[in-house]
Amino acid sequence: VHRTQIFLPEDLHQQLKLEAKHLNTTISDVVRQIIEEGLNKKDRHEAEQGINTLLRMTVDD
Amino acid sequence: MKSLFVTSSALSILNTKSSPSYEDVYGFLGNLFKHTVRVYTSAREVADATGEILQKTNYQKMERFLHLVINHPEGIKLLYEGSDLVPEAARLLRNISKKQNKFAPPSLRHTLSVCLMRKYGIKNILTLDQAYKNFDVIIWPKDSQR
Repeated sequence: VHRTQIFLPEDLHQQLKLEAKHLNTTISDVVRQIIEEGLNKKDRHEAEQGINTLLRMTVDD
Repeated sequence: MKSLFVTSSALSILNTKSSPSYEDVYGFLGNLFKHTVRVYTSAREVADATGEILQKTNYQKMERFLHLVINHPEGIKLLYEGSDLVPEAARLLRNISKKQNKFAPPSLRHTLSVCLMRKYGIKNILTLDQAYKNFDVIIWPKDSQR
């Protein structure tokens, strides 16, 4: 596990605090979860884009 | 399968519908949507494909292909063979050439791509080039799918 320090704007920090309270967990947990979901989503999106680009090559002019 | 390296033979077939293997490659790609598979190729494979596409079709089709590759960097990830890869690829070619091979003989262009795949931890390859059967890569589409 790595310890990383990040700077957040006040409103984002407040949102995270509220979300953590709502989920009955810590801000760290919420941040970890959001990062993981974000990276998975980016992976899926880029994978789809790659296949889409290949398939678009097949479209007739 | 997490990643897939696409060679010039597959790239050029996708751009020539009249090719007998077109449906196999197209069908295989359609099935990939169910999985999260990152698509890679190399600058040299793209360069080779432009030549093949130009030979089989026309300049407009080749331009369109280049446009799709260059202007959609978030789609197909372009890898570059650095000069450090050439000695490794030459060594691999020597080793393979010493063996009795039942498959089509490979050239430096094949070993360069295989070394590039190894460098990035890619095991799957989309190709119609039988020479890749000489290497420890997983070739798609499978012969049984053709």
